[in-house]
Amino acid sequence: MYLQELHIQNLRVFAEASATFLSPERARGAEERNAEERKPEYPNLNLVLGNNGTGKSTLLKAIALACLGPLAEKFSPYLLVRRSGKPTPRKRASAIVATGLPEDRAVVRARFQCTWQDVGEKKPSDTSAALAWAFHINRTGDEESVELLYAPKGEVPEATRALWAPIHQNSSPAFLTVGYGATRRVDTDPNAPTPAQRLRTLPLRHQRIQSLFTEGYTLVPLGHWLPQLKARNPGRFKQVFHRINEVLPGDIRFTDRLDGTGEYLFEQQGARVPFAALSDGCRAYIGWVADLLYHICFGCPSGVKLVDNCGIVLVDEVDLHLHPDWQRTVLPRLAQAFPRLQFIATTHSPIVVGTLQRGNLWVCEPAPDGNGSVLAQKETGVHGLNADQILLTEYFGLKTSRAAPKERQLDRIAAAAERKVPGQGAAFLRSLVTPLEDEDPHD
Amino acid sequence: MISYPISHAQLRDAIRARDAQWLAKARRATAACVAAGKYVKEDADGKTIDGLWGDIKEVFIRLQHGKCCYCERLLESPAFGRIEHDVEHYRPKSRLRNWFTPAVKAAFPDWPAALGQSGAQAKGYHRFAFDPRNYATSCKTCNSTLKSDYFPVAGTPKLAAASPAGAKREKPYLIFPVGDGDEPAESLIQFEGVLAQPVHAADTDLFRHWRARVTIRFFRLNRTAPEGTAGTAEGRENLYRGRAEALSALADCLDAIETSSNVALLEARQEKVERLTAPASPHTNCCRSFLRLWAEPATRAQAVALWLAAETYLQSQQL
Ligand SMILES: [Zn+2]
Repeated sequence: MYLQELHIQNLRVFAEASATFLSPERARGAEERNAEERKPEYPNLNLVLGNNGTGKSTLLKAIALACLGPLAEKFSPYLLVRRSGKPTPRKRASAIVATGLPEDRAVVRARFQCTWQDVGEKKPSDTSAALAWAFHINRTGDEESVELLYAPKGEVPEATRALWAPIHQNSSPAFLTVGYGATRRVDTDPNAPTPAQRLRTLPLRHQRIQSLFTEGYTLVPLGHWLPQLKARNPGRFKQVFHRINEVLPGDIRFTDRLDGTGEYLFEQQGARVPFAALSDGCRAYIGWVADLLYHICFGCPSGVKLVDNCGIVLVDEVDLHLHPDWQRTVLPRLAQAFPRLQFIATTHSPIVVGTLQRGNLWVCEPAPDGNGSVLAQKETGVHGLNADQILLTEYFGLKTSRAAPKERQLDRIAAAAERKVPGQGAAFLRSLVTPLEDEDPHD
Repeated sequence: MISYPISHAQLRDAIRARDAQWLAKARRATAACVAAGKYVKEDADGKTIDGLWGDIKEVFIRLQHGKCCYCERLLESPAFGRIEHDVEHYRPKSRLRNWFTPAVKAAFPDWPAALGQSGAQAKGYHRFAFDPRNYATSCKTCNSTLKSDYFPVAGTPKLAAASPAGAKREKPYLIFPVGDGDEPAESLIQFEGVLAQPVHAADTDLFRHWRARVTIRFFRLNRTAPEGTAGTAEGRENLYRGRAEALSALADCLDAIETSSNVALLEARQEKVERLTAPASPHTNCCRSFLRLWAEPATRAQAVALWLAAETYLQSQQL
């Protein structure tokens, strides 16, 4: 399954926002508007950036809930409905007029594309099916609940219900969605709950996105499942081994050796160190990648390669604790190691942003009317710029950047003033505020 | 850019008041450089002399009212300003880089054949490394990023000159705004709105015209430097924003003075005009240029148009 479009209303900082996402399937379509979008270098990457509090994490949560489909009703999201101060009767009324919604209700609409693995096929194929989905999140006091939008009583239409059916089976590879919150961590305590124990407390598909909603939620450690996989299915173990090394930067290597306590060893500058001894950045990164591999392996039909698995991966703050050198390669490496997964990640890092093209990037920014946040895609790209240059672009809002033709026009006016051509002073100031297309080309 | 006049004797007095030993130290340091025939960081006894100028930075910060000598931005006060202000060596002490690269030449299509363009030199003006007449304070952008070790001249660099006055025959392009060694900056550069421009036209005074042109481009007082030189190819937005703010405050005042009937308010506004056009305010040259346009009936309409355009620009920056 891939997410194609998302529309949200009244959700936390968003009064209303919508976005379209790149996905491996979508990139093959011929419907795109311009050359860059038709053939992005990494068609499976979507990166959302924005300042703290502009709603990046909220967006990932909304997507995660949408991906749960009918299972979302059993999930209790925490404080997702937009709160805009004390609800006075007048304010309530105006809120309903503005969004057509009462203030205690958020709406999420999504359009997905289902792939072979969602519609029950056992082998990769080009099969695809569209799936439209929508739900409400209602708030009563401090409690929030998910209500499906299709019918007053939350009934799902027949065709949609049939498509969603496999989501009720843990072992099905359909609708693979995993999410990682900014406080993700791996429990290195040997007494941490095993995957089987985890299942008794939380349904598998909820587990996969729980990290986005629960502070400090622990991920499945490698030692809990990889040794068993090696014994049971050496071929697949080999694939996991290679995937991990593919996403690691050159200066660190995953070995398939365990230390005395059952922890996997990594090779760093010639020395072997257990997972727990790695730096914060290494652990935060390897931790979620390993958890992702666990969940892919869990449902992957036999005879299908791990890389052929489709699904959605949500990562909040993908640059978390990462060394700048890693930030430069993290997304390209992930995109190449998992070409059939759709990544939707957030970041604060200009270095990470600089590795992608315009079509891969969405910005959470203050709404023009000052009312919360909106999602926007920018006119200019930043691919290949250095971090300092990117910080000066509109992606990071440190200054208004002007398009190159505008800069050249300002240069021409200033140069004329320096030659003492009269009248350039006012022309320059006016040019600073007039968009290029509004101007007389003969000016 | 405006000048901060001070005689050599007055400058030495101010330095002595700050640090009674400094001039003696500087004399020995200069002797060490002269003996070595180049700029050296240690004297013959192995004592560090490099950076000695930092001890009298405050003298120049005060003299320049805390402003950068080239871009006229207001920086921190002396108490906190040490980190923000660089001591600028007008004539570079250890080497000269070639500013007239092909890209720079291409950016001046109307460059006159009569004016020379100096190139690189392996040595700098080591005799002036510890001469306070060669010092000013400037912002990091003007000094570190833009000035660097460049010193374009129209003649032949006089590296062996004994005093800055003796070196003048090399015909420097860059204007030096501190002391009494150069003519007043305002007789070379004026402003139209937020844009700097030469006072003299090329056909009335060729060299003065080009001194202004080079200085404006060199420090990017208006816009980009040519491609291939240091920094990014963008305008120094802060500069025209600061100038627009100053110009807007001044124009407001001038306009109110003409309509004011309250004597006390009138006086307050007249004082404000004086303050905004005094050397201690940022962007003094810009403000004084505007005041001249405003005061002259023939150019009043031009001044009003500049004012309105500046207001629109400032409004757009609020978003
Ligand atoms: Zn400056």
